[in-house]
Amino acid sequence: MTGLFRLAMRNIWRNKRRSMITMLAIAGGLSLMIFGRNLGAGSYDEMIKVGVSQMAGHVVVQAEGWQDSRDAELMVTGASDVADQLAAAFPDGTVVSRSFLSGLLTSSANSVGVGLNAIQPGPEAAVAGWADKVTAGAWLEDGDDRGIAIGTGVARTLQVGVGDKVVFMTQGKGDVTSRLFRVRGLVQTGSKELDGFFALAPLPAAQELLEQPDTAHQVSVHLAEPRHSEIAAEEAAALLSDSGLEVFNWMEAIPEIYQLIKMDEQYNFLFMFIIGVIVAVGVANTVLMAVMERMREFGVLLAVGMSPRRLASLVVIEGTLLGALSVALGVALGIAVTWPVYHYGWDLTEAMGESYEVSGVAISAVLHARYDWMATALFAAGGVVMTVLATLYPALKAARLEPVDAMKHV
Amino acid sequence: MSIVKVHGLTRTYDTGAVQVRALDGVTLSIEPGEFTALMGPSGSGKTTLLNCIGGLDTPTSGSVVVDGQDIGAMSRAERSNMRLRRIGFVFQSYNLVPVLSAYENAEFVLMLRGTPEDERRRAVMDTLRAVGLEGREHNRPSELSGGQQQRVAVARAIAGKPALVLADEPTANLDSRTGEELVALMKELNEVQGITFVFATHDPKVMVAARRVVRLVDGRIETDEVRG
Repeated sequence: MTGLFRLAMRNIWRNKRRSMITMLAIAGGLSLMIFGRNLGAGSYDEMIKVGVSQMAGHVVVQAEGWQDSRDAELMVTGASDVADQLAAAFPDGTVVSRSFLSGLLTSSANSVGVGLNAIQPGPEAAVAGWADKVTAGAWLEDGDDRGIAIGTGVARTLQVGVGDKVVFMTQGKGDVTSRLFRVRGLVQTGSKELDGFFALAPLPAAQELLEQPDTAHQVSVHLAEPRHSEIAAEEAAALLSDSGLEVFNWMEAIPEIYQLIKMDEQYNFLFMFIIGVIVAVGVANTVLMAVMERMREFGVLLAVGMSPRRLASLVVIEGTLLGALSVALGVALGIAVTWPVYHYGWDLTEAMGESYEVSGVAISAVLHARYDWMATALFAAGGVVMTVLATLYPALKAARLEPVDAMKHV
Repeated sequence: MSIVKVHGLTRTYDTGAVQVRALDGVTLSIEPGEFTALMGPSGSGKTTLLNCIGGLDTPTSGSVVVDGQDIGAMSRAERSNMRLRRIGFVFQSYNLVPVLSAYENAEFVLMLRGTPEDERRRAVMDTLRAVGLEGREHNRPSELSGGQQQRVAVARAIAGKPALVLADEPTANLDSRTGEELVALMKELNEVQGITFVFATHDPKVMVAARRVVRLVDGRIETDEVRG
């Protein structure tokens, strides 16, 4: 077999230019696939991280029916007790309670419809990083039940700044209810849509406003290891089985983001499969051309006693070596091309603004890649398999040659 | 026992409208150690006969027995194995593998046979020395003259000590002097090592060297002359 490998390796370099072009085509396609997947993985991570931290959690507890209806009246009652139970069950996680209200925010100058997230300022700052997004004033403090943080767009519309008064009006228990707040900080996510629509206030203020003490729309656990979401949700469901509450993992709690990622992944894999097929056809063409050019030589090899099976093996080895070398080059290229985007990020802020919105979540326009080694290994293995498959037809063609006929070729 | 026994060999080619009878009832025996030339004009059937003896072509009728084995009854793989182990070939246009050195070309058949490396090295070096290519082992075919390439082809054919070497117009692409040297070399190998050679040739030099000359005309043996 060593002799066949030696012969195959030399045959690859017989037409250097053609082999190099083929290798570059395979390596280029593969590196593009690896880079695309790594960039996607990084973007999905960011989307999940932001979505989970701001809108849900890795374990999400809600009143029955709230997930589908978003009915403001469906609250988790005894929210602090539920939070305590979850904190005890997941000592490494952070438990936060939230309510989501919509209403009208009014200043002396103007009014604007807003979505008000009622949160616990301390824990929320730890899980959602809101404090980093404050551009003026300060982040809310626990116990400051008159404080409100508003999006920069909301502030512009209302013509208010830090320290100004605003009134939030919403539908309470069958009646319109309102509460006076003072702007403590202006928050900027980078998404114009979100910054012009959202506000954050302490949860006790919302409980008072709605006259529903110790309630929340959602009590969630934020784990250090997101991959444990499903198992943790099952554990929490068992823990709260008698409460009548619903427990979700993050994928169930924010299905729009999960489905978006899954759909994008499917689309990308289809796209990558198409690239793979195009590359395989290229390899098949190169190997077939190499076979057709060497018909006479193959005839001689058969004549001097090489078996048809061995000749086919020679062709397959040539294609496989070409594929393996190209795949190695492609993996190296893919890793190298990913590195700057992994390390420094890919700044698209000029084209997209500071961030862009996906399903109500502001995603930074500085994209960061993540090395998805599993996908890289899969693509590399797929690349080698594709090249081996691409050599089968040329190999079969070589094996079927009759030495006398083949030697007539010039 | 004859090394080659051909009986009633017919080979017909279907070229569409016309059927060409390349061999027409050839019967022939070749004994071990013979140095035989198949002579005849173009289209007389020399190469076809050589191909049928070597298992490269399938007879339409008749039988070919080489070294006691009926080639007609063999599968493709068995014929391939027969060629590998019992027959050496020398072609008109050398037909060396261009990416292999003189040594590696000469070694090729032994490599296919799976001969151990030490044994292979010894056999190849002895053979290259015998064909006068010592010191040229590392040269690729493109770095050798036509005569040297044909010597490599002879080395490839004989390195595995086959029972029979079939040579199809081996001197046709060589100049007169180089051709003479090659014929002398093969004659020497025949006499010293006892290798059986069968040539298809137009070359009078081969005819002069041959101890037996079989003349073919229109696919039939016209004369079969054995010289003292």
